[in-house]
Amino acid sequence: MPRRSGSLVHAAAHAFGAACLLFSLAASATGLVVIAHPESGLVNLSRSQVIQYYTGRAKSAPGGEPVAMIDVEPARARFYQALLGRDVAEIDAYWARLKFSGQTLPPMLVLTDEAALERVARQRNAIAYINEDKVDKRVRVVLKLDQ
Amino acid sequence: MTNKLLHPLKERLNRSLVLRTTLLIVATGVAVGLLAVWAVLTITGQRETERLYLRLDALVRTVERTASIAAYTHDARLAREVASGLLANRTIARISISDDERELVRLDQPGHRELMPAKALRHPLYSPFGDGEVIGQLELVPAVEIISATARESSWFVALVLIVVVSAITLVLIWAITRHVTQPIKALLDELQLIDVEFGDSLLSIDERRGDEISRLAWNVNNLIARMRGTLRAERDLRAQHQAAGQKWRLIFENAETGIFTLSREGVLHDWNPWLALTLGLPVNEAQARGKPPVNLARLLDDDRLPALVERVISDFQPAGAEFAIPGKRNRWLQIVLTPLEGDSNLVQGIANDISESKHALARAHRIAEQDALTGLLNRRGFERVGDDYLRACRPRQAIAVMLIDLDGFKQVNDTFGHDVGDQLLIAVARLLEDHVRQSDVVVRLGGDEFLVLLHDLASPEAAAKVAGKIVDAIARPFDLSGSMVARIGASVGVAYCDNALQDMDDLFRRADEAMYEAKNSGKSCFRVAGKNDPG
Repeated sequence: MPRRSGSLVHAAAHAFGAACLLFSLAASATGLVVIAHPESGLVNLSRSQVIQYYTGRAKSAPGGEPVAMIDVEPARARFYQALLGRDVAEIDAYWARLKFSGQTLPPMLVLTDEAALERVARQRNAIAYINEDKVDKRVRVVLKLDQ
Repeated sequence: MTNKLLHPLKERLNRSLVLRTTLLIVATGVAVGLLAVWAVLTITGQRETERLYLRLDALVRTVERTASIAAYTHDARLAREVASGLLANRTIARISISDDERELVRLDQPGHRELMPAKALRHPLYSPFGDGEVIGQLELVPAVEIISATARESSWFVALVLIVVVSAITLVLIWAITRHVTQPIKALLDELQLIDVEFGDSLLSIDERRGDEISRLAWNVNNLIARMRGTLRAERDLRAQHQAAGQKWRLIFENAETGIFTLSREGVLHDWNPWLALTLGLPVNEAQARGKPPVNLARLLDDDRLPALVERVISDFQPAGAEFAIPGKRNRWLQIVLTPLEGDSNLVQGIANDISESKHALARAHRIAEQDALTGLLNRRGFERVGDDYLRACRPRQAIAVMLIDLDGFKQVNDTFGHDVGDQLLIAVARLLEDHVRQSDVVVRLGGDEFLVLLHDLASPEAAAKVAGKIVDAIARPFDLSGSMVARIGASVGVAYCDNALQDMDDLFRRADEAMYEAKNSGKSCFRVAGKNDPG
């Protein structure tokens, strides 16, 4: 199971995300979609299912395999805003409390959509979110998020 | 036993203002203290408990969010962390956190023993993402024993402070009242008991100038004493004057040669002076009178006129008097004058004078005036007084007769032998007449050689005539006089008989006189009886 490497990496990711915000908005006029491995048990997910996975409330797919969530840096703020109406600082604070127990782990962070695609294509139980126009055959869209 | 002990305490309480005041203050202090402690224990205990519950609530609120997250993510480890954090507070006996499926953790306060059943406090846990969905529950059982012990502890502290304050106030109050009120009053009382008003003492221990109530009281008492001293002195002078006057009156009363007394309506003597006591044989003073029955004057004098006299004096409200014989003493008389007493209708005042002397003198004068000095017979005046009494008593078979006796030949004896012999003869005739009638008949010398005999209780005129005859015969006998002289005289007698009270004495006298002259004219030394209805 992948582990977060430390708070420094995380902080750098944040800084990078903030810097790329303008670019992202310009580059991705299209909506975000949640993607999964085409052969996984995850086919169509409801919005609340996605929320449960991304907040750690639900940990496994209907088939019983544990679900690995992936945060994608360029769209992260947008994603949580669209999904929960929260900004990332709040989400970080939420995970900070859970980190004490070590029983519930936060999503793994990747820096680009391409990295996210690659990861989902490789790992059967992984889910991630990317701009809709970046979707290719390696993955399956399980939910479209309204903007 | 208790009663015996209580009784002197009650007695002392009644007598001691200090003790009573102190006890009252102490009792009030204890009552107020107990009430305050009770109130403090009740109110503080409640408030302390409420406060502890509020603190529990606040405590729960600080961990609520973390607990929600633990329940949301079904994270038992995080839940345990939260629970053990809460248990650091000793007022929590048990804590459990559940998600929507199961209990995530349940922890008990180590070493806690539940003595009282406590109601669990339940907090719903909401989804941290704000849609109001309940995703679990935090249940908390408070350690009631510890909460109430804590509350009790702090209430007792407040109560202790209160007891100290109330005790202090009570003590200060007792000290102040004792020092400023009760002690001065007691001092005043002690001093008052020893004070001698007549000697001119005054209260000294209290400073009059201080001006508070007690010193004003002392000032007033001193004033009162001064005034009382003046009054006492005046009264003493007055009493001395009164005594002197009383002495004067007493001397008069006691030494008066007359009886002075007061008498009740019923005739009982109330007061009397020594003179009356000696005269009537009453007790002289109160010591003698003690134990003896009251003296009733009417009974003492044995005279019914006295009660009547008393009644008259009281009803007429005017003095009145009468003469009374002194019982047990011959020929002693009292004149008693009673005067009504102003303002008391049941008492009269009396004066008794011994009038025996004057009465005797009067009687003697009467006797002298009615007696013939030579013969000792009644004279004409004496006959006039008694004659009518006989006349009034006369009736048939109890008749009277008036007999006029004129001596014949007396003038010659007088001329021949002198007046002394004549007087001897008259005396002899008088004795002779007395010898020939009854004691109750009346013999009178009318004057010169004229005598009168009044017979009474006669059955008939013949009885009178018989006496007349005897008298004529007796006088006709020679009289032996002194110096072996013998006188021979005679008597002409006229008798008037009367058997009814309708005639008057003058008429009877005149008829006897005429009969007497008839006898004289008939040759003397004989008698004639006047005709029954002979007018002359």
